[in-house]
Parts: sequence; C-alpha cells; structure tokens
Amino acid sequence: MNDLYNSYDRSVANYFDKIEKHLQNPIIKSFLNIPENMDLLREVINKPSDASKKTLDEAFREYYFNIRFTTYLSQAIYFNAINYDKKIKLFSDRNQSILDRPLRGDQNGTLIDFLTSAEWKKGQDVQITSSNIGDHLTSQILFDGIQRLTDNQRQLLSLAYIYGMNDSEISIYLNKSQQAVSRSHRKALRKLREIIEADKEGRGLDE
Amino acid sequence: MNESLYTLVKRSRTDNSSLVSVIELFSPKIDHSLKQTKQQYREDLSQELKIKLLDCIRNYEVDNVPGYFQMIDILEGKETPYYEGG
Repeated sequence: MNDLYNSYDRSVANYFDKIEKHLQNPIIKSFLNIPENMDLLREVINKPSDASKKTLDEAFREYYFNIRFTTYLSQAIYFNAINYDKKIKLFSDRNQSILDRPLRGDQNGTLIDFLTSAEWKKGQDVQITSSNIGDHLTSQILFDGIQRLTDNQRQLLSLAYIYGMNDSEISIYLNKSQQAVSRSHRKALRKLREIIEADKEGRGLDE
Repeated sequence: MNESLYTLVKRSRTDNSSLVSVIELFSPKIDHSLKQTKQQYREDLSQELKIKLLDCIRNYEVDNVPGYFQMIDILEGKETPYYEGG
C-alpha cells in the first residue's frame, strides 16, 4: 500500500517537473493550491480517463472563469462610472442653467437656491424692452464688440437672441435666404469671438 | 445563493432571473463606485451601470474560457489565446 502511494506521488512529481515553469503562472498556482483541485489532478495523473480529465477541465474552467469574469465586470463598472461622471460634467458645462447644480466658486447652495433668494428678487424689476441687442448686454467687451459689427449683423443677433428666432424664421422675416442668414449669423459670432479673444490677450499682456 | 457564478452566467443568456442574480452579486461593487459621483447623480449612475452590466453578462463568451489542458497548451505556446485584448 505504501509503495503504491509512493509511486502515485512520484508520477505527480514527474508531472510537476514537466510543467514546472507553468506552476509559476498565478492562475495555475492558485488553482492547484486548493486541495480539492490538487486531488483532481492526482486522479488524472494516476488514473487517466476521459471522465477524470473532464472533471479537472471543468473545475479549472469554472475557477478561471470566476477570476476572469469578476475582473472583467469590476473593470466595466469602474470605467463606466468614470465615463458617466465625464458625461455629466460635459453636459453641465454645456447646459449652464441646471437648477440643482451647485454654484461655482466658494458659494454654497445651488442655482435654484440663488434664484429664489431675496438677493435676486431685488434686481428683478428691471425689464428691458429694447429691441436693440446692445441694450441687453451687461458685458463691456461684448457691448464693444457688438458696436463693431454691421447693422445687418446687429439686427440678426437681436432677432436671434432677444426674440429667440431661429435662422429660418429670421430669413422669412428679413426676406432673405436661410443660407445667407446662417452664414452671416456664424460670421457675426466668429467676429465677436475674435474681438473677445483679442481683448483677453491684450489684457493678458498688460498684467 | 447556492448556485455558482459560473452556472448563473451560463444560464443568464436565456434566463432573466439568473441575470438578475448575477447583477445582485455585483451590486456591492456598483454601490462602491457610486461614491465617486455626486449624491444627486447616484441613482442614475447605478441604473446606468446595471444596464451596462446586462450587456457585459449577456455577451460574455463563457465557452471562451480555457479548460485546464487548454490552459497548459496556451502556456506552452501551442495555442494562441484568442481572447487577448478583449
């Protein structure tokens, strides 16, 4: 009996010599560290049969699967959570008037808190009815920039941003083609942007 | 929860309750990853992640996981793993 047992162990040892370098593989190593799996392997080496091989194969597959699948899902969760945050950030950067978005800087509370506060109500009675876009601006740079546009462009911007008309509505109103309106709309915005950026650079150099 | 992850995932292609069980198994991980986002978005994110997991679980090729002898072959370099980079 003792002899038999030893010969069992010897063939297992032989097998391990053969696959020695793979025993360092973390998956194989941790798989064989579990006694039940080791027993399965012994069984395959000593009494090779299709059934025992299959059992070992399945046990390993399940073991490896658990590791791979868990890693895969964990990473999927992790990266998707990060992507979701990025998406939220992009969305709130593009849509500035989200009511429950926290205010910038060191102010506490959200935009809706601010809008419902007394602070805001005080200034609310000023209603500008002018149809000239220049009268609606609070930014000095933007005001200066608007003055440098053509009359047509100013009128177009007034229609678009005071009355909220879109390009095709403006084109009907002005009796122009929609393409022409779109083009000069874009051109006006581009020019404003150039003016603002030139102004920023100019101030940057002064400081 | 007596059934192993392996059988659950295998069955989840056709069996929705297995699919739910798998997602529930991973819910602690989901809850943990919610901490990184603001309170107001957590519910949305949780839902979003669960939808993603549905895809991941359903499309996971269980049979692509190598068995023991296949794994040794891969390590020997006889067989190239076809799952790399996935």
